[in-house]
Amino acid sequence: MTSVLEVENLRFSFDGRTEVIRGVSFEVRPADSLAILGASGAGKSTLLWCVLGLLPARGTVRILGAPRTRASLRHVGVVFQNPEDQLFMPRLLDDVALPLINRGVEVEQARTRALSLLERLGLAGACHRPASQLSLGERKKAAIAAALIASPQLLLLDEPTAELDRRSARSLTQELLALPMSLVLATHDLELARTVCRRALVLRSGAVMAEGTVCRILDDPALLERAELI
Amino acid sequence: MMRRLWRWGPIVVLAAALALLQWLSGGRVTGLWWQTVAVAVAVACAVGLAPWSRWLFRPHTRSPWLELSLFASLVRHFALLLQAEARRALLAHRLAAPLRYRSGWFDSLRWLLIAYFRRVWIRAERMYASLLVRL
Repeated sequence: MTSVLEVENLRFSFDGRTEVIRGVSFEVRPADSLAILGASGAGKSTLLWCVLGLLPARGTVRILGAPRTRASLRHVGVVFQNPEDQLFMPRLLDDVALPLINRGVEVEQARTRALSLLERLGLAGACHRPASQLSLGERKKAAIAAALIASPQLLLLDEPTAELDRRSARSLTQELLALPMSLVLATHDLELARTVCRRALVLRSGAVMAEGTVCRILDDPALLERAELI
Repeated sequence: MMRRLWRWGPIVVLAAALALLQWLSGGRVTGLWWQTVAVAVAVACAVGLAPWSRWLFRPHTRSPWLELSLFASLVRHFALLLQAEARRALLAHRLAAPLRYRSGWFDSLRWLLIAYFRRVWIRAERMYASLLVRL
């Protein structure tokens, strides 16, 4: 079975000298879910940016078996840590419909599909408001909706529960559990990782410290201590 | 190397547009275009080569240069904010509308620009508020 995402020996440095991502390799299979765990500054977000080609890293990234290109990136949905970055249209409905409109779907049809997705996420009432008027939890869900609308086969989420209150985080976790595609979560929220993901990869100073099933990783307090996660 | 050269694209386009406007208006094409490029090169060299951070934080609190130094560091900080916001905005647009020049691309770019200025305005307000609190 072809992997959805294959990353091999990824290396990156901001200044050309000190590597902040040091030979990271991992694989995500269809319908798999991987948590990239690490303390703040461990390189989780940088790793995601490198995977997406937003930072010029060395190494190999393959999406659905093919080298990463603009075309192959269309199979990938991304949710930033700060959803404000992603939602800039005058109405939430337009934000969510934009990827479909850009792919050539009729505007009305795109809006209908966007509305049904927003309804599923409990945001239909806010669809005519700008994202800036929503709560952070709602904005996070809206950013997920915008990423999901084009039916990606892989969804990358950067700190999805960061800055959320417990209730909003729980609600978001339930939404993530219901998603059918492969997931990669960069997070330091161990509870989220345990609930949503099957596998985990622990990063420390940009290098892989451990990889395995979530249960094995999270039930090893010595490892979590060394990774500065507890 | 190519990435660095591409950064000069907007300056070259601006210089070309200035020359084109002069030519279209029926007037003489002056040296404005090369002066534009020369000023940009000079500013880039000054910014890149001078040890600004050392100079900016050197003045003592009683120094007559203190206010100028504070102003310069404020401008520098705000320029970095603008750059970071622009980078994030363009990245979001690239992910939301990956097919360039296709349906919705220009319209979303317009809204992105409006959102960008709104966010820059908010960042400027926050920065001003933090200065008021600290000074």
